[in-house]
Amino acid sequence: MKTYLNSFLSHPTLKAFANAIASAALGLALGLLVTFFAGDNPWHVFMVLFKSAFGSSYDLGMTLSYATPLVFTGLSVAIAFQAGLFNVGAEGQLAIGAFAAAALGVVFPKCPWPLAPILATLVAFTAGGIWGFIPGWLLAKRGSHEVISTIMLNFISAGLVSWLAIDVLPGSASQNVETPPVSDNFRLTHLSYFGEAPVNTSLIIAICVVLVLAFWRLKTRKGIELSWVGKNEIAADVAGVNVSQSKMWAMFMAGGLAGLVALPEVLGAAGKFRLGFSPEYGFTGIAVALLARGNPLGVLPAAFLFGALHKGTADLDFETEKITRDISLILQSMVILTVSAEGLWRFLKRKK
Amino acid sequence: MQKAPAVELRNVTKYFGSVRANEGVNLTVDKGTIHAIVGENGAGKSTALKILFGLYSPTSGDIFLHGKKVEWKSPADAVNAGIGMVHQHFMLSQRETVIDNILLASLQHQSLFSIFSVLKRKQAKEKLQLLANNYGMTLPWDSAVEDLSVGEQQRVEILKLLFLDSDILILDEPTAVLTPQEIEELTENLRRLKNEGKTILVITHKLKEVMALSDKVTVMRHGRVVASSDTSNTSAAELAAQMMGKKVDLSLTTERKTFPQAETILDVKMNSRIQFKLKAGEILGIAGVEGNGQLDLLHYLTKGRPQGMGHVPENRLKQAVISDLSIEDNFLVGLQKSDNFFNHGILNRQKLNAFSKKQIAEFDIRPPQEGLPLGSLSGGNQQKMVIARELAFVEKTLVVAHPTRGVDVGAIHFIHTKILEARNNGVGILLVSSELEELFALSDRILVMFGGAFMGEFTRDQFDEKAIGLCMGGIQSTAGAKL
Repeated sequence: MKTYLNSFLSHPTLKAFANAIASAALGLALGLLVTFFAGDNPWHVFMVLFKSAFGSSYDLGMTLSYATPLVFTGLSVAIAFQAGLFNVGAEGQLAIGAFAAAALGVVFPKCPWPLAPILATLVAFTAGGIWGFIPGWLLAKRGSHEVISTIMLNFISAGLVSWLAIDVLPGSASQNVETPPVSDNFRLTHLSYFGEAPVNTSLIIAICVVLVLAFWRLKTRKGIELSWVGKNEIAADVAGVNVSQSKMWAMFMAGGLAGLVALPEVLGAAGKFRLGFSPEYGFTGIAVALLARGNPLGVLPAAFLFGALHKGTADLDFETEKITRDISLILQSMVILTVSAEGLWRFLKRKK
Repeated sequence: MQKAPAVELRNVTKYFGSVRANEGVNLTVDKGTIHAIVGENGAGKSTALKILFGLYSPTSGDIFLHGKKVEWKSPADAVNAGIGMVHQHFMLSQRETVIDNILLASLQHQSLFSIFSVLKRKQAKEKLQLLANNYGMTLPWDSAVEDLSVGEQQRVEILKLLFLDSDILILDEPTAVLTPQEIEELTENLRRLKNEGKTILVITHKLKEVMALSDKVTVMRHGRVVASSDTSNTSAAELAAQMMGKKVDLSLTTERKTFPQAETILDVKMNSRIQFKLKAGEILGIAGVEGNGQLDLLHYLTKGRPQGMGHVPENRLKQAVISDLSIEDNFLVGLQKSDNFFNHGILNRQKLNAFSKKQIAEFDIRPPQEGLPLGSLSGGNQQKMVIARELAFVEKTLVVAHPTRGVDVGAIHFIHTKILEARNNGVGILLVSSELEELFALSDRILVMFGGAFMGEFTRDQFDEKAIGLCMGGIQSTAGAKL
C-alpha cells in the first residue's frame, strides 16, 4: 500500500501539480505581504478574502460564475500554447462568439429547448473559431505573426460587435448597448444550490470540455501531433505532421473555445449580448493558461483561483481600511511570478 | 626544478545526488601540449572538464593551475584565470555578426559602460585581426553567424577564447559535427596554437584523431581515469580496449546475405542529374562532402514521411526527437500514423510502453529508466533510441543520414550491425554519410555526390579511398563507372 502511495505521489504530473499549488500559495503569501506594508494585517485581509470567496454557497457560486468563462478563455490560450502559438485574441473571439449565439436566439426564438442551446453552442464555437482561424490562416499562408494579428483582430471585433449591437440587432427597452433577449428555450438551467448566484449548467459543460480536451491531447493522434508542433516544430514535420495545418486548426479551436463564453453569459446569466460584458476574460485567460502551464487539466484549478481572487477582493473595499480591490491584480501577478519562478528554481537545482 | 603543470586535477570526485559522475580523478596536463581525454559517452570526461572550467563545483578534490591551488565560484573566475571552453553545442548568437559575437563574450567580463565605447570596439577589432593573422584563422567579421559553416562557427568560438587571452583551451567533442576537410583545418589550427604555447584539452571519442593530434592521452571509464600515457606509446586498439574495459573487435562480423533476384523498391527520378534505383537487400551509400545536394535528396525522399519508410535524419536533436518528452513518447514520434499503437484512434499506452521497454533493452539504451525526458540522455543513447524506433517497423526502405555522428565506439559498432541486419532482412537502405570508413563498412554500392549531381558510382569491389576522395572533390576517376 505504502509503495503504491509512494509511486502515486512521485508521478510526474502529480508532482508538477503539487509544485504549482505550493508556488501559487507562496505567491499569495508574498502578495498579501504587500498589504502589511500598506498598513493592514495580512491575515485579516486573507480572512476577508477567503470568507468573501467561499463563505457561503452564494459566495462560492459567485466565485464559480466568474471562473466559468475563465475556464473557456484559459483553454483557448492553452490550446494555442500547445501548438507553440500565443493567442492574445480570446477577448475578440469571445465577443464574436457571444454575439453570434445571441443573434441565433433572437432570430429563431421558436427553436425547441434541447436543440436551441445545442445549436447556439455550435454557432458560438464556429463564430469564435472563424475569428481565431483568420490569424491561423494568415500565419500558415503568409507567415503573419499570430500575436500581431490576434491583437489587431481584437479591435476589429470590438468595432464589429458594437455596430451589430447598435444598428443591426438593437435591443429596444434599454439604454445600454445590447441585443434583445434570447427566448427562454435557449437558456441553460440555473443551479439552485448556489442561490441567487448566476451559476448554471455551463459550469458542468466547462468541466466536461476540460476533460475532453485533456483526453484529446494525451490520447488521440491529432492531439499528440499538436503537442509535438509546440515542442519541436521541425521534428514534428519530419515525423509527417502537417505543421502549418495543425497551427491553423489549433487557432480555430482556440477561437471556438473562447466563443464558448457565450454559454455562461448569453445562454446563462444575461440571456442576451451586452456590449462590454466581459471584464477582460480573454486577457485574464492568458494568465490562467500560464498558471496552468498550457495543460488543459491545470486550467480548471487556475481558473478557480482567479475566480476566487476576483470575488474575494470585491469585499476588501468596505471590509478593510486601506486595501482596495485592486490588490487582486497584485495577487494575480505574484502568483504568476512564483509559478514561473518555480521553473527557474528547478533549473537552478538541476545545474547544481 | 621541474616546471609545474599547467593544469592539475587532484582526486576530484563529483556526485549528482547519489549518481557518481567522477571518482578520484587525477589529471596532469603539461603546458604547451595537446592532451586528449577519451572515453565512452557517460564516462565522466565532460564532467571533469566542466569542473575545471568552473561550471560544476567538485564534491571533493582540488584544482591546481600552474602549481597554485584555485577555487572557482563560477566560470567567470576560470575565464579570468585564462581558461576557455568551446562547448559541443556552440554558444553563439545566430543573428549577430562574428565580431559582435566575440565582443559580446568579452563584454561579460568588463564594465557595462564599455558597451557604448566606439573606441574600444575599434581597438577590439584591431586586436582580433592581429590574432587572426597570427593563427591563420581569418573570418568574415561582418557576416551573421548563421551564414557561416559549422567549421567557421567553431573558429569563432576559438577566436573568442583567444580574444579573452585564454591560454588553456578546452574543446568538447570539437570534431563531432565537422567534415573531414574541416577536421584537417582544425587539427592544423590546434597545432599552431600549441606551438604558440597554448595548452589544449580535447574531449573526444574518435581514436583516429587522438592518435593524429594529441601529445598525451588520458582514458576515462565509469567516472575514473583508467590510463594515461604519451600518445606515441599507445595505439588506437589499446585505447579502445581501455575505454570499454575489455578487448573489442570492431570489425563487422555479420555476414552479408546475397539477393540474386532482388526487386527494385525505389526508383528515384528527382531531376535530370539525380536518378537512381534502390534494390531490396541493398545498402546504397551516398558519399560526398556535406553541402553537395545531400540535404535536398534526403528532403525529397522523406518529405511527409511516406508509410513504411524508416528515416534517421541528419540532425538528431533538431529533427528526430522532442527532447522535452519522455523516451516512451519519443518512440511514437513518426510512428503515429500507423495503427500499431492506436485502437480506434485512441493511444494504447501499455502497448507503447511495452514496445519502448523492449527496444530500450534490445538496444541497450541507458539509463534504462522509464519516463525520463529524452533530452537528459547522452547523444549516443539518443541516437540509439532513434535507430531503435526507425528499425522497428521498417517495411521496405530505410533512409539513414549520419547514423553514428557523435556516437561512441561501442555504439557505432552496434548501430552498424543493426543496419546490416536490416539489410539482410531485405530492407533497401540509403545511407548518407561523410565518413568513408562508415560507407565502406556498410555499403554494397556507393554513389558520390558533387555539386548537386552524381559524380561516380562504385561497387563494393571498387571501393578505394583515393578514387572516391577525388570524386568527392569533383574529379572523375577511372576506377568507378562514369555517370
